[in-house]
Amino acid sequence: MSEDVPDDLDELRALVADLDESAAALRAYGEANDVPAIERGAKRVQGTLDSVKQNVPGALVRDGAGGAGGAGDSTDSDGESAEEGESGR
Amino acid sequence: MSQMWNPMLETMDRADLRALQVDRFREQVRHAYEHSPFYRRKLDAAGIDPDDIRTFEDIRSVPTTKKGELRDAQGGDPFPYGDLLATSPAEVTEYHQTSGTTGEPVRQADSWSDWEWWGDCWATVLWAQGIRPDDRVFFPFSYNVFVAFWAAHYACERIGAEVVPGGNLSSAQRVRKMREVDVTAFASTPTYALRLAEVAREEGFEPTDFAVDTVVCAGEPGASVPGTKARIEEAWDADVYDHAGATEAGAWGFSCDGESVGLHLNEAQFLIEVLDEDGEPVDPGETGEIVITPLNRTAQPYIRFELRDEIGLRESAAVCDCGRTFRFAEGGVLGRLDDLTKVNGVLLAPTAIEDVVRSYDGVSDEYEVIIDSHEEKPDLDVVTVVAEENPETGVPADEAGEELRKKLKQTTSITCRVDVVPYESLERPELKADRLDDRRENHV
Repeated sequence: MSEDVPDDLDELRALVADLDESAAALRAYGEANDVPAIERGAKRVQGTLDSVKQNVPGALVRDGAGGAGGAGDSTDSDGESAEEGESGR
Repeated sequence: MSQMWNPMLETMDRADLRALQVDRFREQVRHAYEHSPFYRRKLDAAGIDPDDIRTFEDIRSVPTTKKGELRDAQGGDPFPYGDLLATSPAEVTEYHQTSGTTGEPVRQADSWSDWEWWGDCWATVLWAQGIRPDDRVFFPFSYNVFVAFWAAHYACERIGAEVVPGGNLSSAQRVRKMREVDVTAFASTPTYALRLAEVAREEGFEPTDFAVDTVVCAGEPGASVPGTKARIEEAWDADVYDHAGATEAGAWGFSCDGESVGLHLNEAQFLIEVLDEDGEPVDPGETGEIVITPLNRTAQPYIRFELRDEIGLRESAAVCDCGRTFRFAEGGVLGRLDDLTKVNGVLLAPTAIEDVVRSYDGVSDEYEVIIDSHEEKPDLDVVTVVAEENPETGVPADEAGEELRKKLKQTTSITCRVDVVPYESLERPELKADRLDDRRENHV
């Protein structure tokens, strides 16, 4: 296994961002230079990369006012009490 | 190797998962508001500002989407998706449509990104069900405009498994191909999994001798109905798994290797609300209707779509023995709300009848359910279950009929007429089976 394997989510997100940037640059090159093989291929990579992004948990936005699913927010019920949410581990 | 396609998401702490769902729901609503004329109108009419969505209570203030609305909104420009489209037509790479059994088909646009999402969702299903790079997976379906197993095919590619496409072949040709190339898994409806086993025997083969060790079922309830699951397992000597999805929603539910029979809800990719008749969330242990929002869909998003499927949430809030923190629907999809009906005031779930018939070896796999008005008392409903003799067990028709009558009464509380007809009298569907024939006039 590579020694460069990332060990936290921030690193994963950074790697995804790098790929995104590279794919965008390739696509721009393909468009500017009229090379469909590169432009369309890079566009396809961007779509595939979306599914990788969806698999890297993003930084969660927790709004303190009526927080979304906050562990102590027993009024934000969706058939689950806060207690159940905490015991679900 | 992990037993999960993405353990980070599938074992996520429930509080974090719910926060992720709210965030993604808000983004999905924002996307739909900004790009879908249908949803712009709908959300404006309800006074919804996407930026105000912060809690599950806020989510429930967003109006649900009914299938009829989708039909009304499509067809205009840009053709054929009309006001449902939330992207440029040039971004659409996949066309599919619903089966149209409940009315005009809904046309489904997916971008490349959406199609990758479909494949990823199905990869979550298939990986959970044991499909690995060394599998050879057969797809015995006709690869047409219905999404069916298309995304499962590409999910196998994503996993690295070998795909054997089985379109445009007869059932006999399919079983011969399965045997010829030693497929280790196949995907089909539960009805067709049983039919293929039947055809294999007609061709002189024993399906338990095939290399198949995994059967992935989808398209109709069945693989989470204990009697049906057991029949398929026995027919193929294979592990049988269930999946639930829809063209509009995506691949949202999947069974695991845990002890219980049913479906995990993929809550990292979908917001799945299980609601009672008043639109309030049901508690664990209760049943309700699914209202679903795919959380990463761009070309044709759905916000709180009424799926018309009923499920029952597992009572225990503890983590499943498979390790996933996703909620679990005991018994899978219990029925389509459109199929649930009352007979003489008693609720009849077709899956309850299916379990009784398939759990009794005195009859074979196929059956039909006919509901009609009594010949002499039109206000009285009569249920007739038509089943076939089972040549393997040789139970006489009248004895099988009597036994089924008793079991149906015990399970459903409904006194059914039972007709046991000769083997192979009934139709053999290749895809989904529509076994319920409600002939009552003006029945609601």
